[in-house]
Amino acid sequence: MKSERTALALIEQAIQLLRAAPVSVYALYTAGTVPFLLMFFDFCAEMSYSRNAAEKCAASAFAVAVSYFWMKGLQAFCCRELVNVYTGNITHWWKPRTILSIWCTQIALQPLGLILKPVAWLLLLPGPYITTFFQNLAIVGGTGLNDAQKSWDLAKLWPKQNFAVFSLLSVLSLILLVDLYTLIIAIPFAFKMFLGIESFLTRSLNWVFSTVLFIALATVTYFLTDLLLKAIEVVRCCDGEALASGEDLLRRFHELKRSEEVVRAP
Amino acid sequence: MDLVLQRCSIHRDREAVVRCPGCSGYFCRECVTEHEGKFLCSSCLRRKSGLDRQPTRARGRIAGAIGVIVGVTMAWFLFYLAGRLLILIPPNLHDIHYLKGIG
Repeated sequence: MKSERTALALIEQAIQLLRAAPVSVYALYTAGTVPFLLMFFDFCAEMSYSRNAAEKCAASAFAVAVSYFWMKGLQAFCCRELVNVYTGNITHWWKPRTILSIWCTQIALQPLGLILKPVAWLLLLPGPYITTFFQNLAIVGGTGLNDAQKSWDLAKLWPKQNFAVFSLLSVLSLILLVDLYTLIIAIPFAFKMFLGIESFLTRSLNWVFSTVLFIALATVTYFLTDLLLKAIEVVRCCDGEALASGEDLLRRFHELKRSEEVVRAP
Repeated sequence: MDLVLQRCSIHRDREAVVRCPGCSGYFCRECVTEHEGKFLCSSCLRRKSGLDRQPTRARGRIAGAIGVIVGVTMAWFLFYLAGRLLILIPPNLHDIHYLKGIG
């Protein structure tokens, strides 16, 4: 039972999990997340600057919603793959009926997160619980009738660890955002300084304060940190489920047995 | 009475090892089956998986379909709302142009 793992140890375990993950995990995550982020960025830019934004708003919002469901579905499959890597058990999520069940659960429940997550983070204290709940839903959702209850029960486990993880991830995200901002600002000036190429980006700094640029960088930061958060939640979920099933002990027992066989082999 | 002193309701010569949570009857290991983390006797299991199953599955499908429709509508509405909010913001507020007016 791994109940009192520190936040840093958990993050380390999640990074190990990502390193051991097959390419399918990254492919599913990228194929799901990138189209949504591009659609969302395009939507924000269009609604901010386009003259006929009001006419296009409904259709564009529907397209973004569809890409959102596409992302949530593929992220759920990505989490299933991560669970397979972590537990060593192969769950056949790629059966059509399972895929449909997982996707329907994500479509039905994940949009609630669009309202609940910002509200929870504004209130600060429920933020980690609600975010973990929706992450857990991506991991266990679609397998049973009481997915929401199961996700909530798992989200309530080890609150201290959860809060510490979210604090560390917030700092990491902030550093990443500042780094990206600095890099984006530095590139045109570096071109001007070393190659003498002048562009509209170096003539005025207006674009630096553009909300669209901020949204673009925020989406990139989300893309880079969300997979780590997913891996962390996969570890927490599997450990939480193991409290009832004892699967982690069985896993360790099999590992020990295997290593003993290796030692015995001539 | 204590479980160790009980006999199986079907096989009277055997010791009971489980009390069925459905009918509260005592049974030996052979007469019970694990179902959703609980040991149930055959009649309770039949009742649970046979009669209850069809309406539950049908209800689940209907609830799922309603959930999908509500989810799609909710997501579309929230993104639409976000779009309307962005439209309401004057374009010059998206960049530094408004600062020029102040300066």
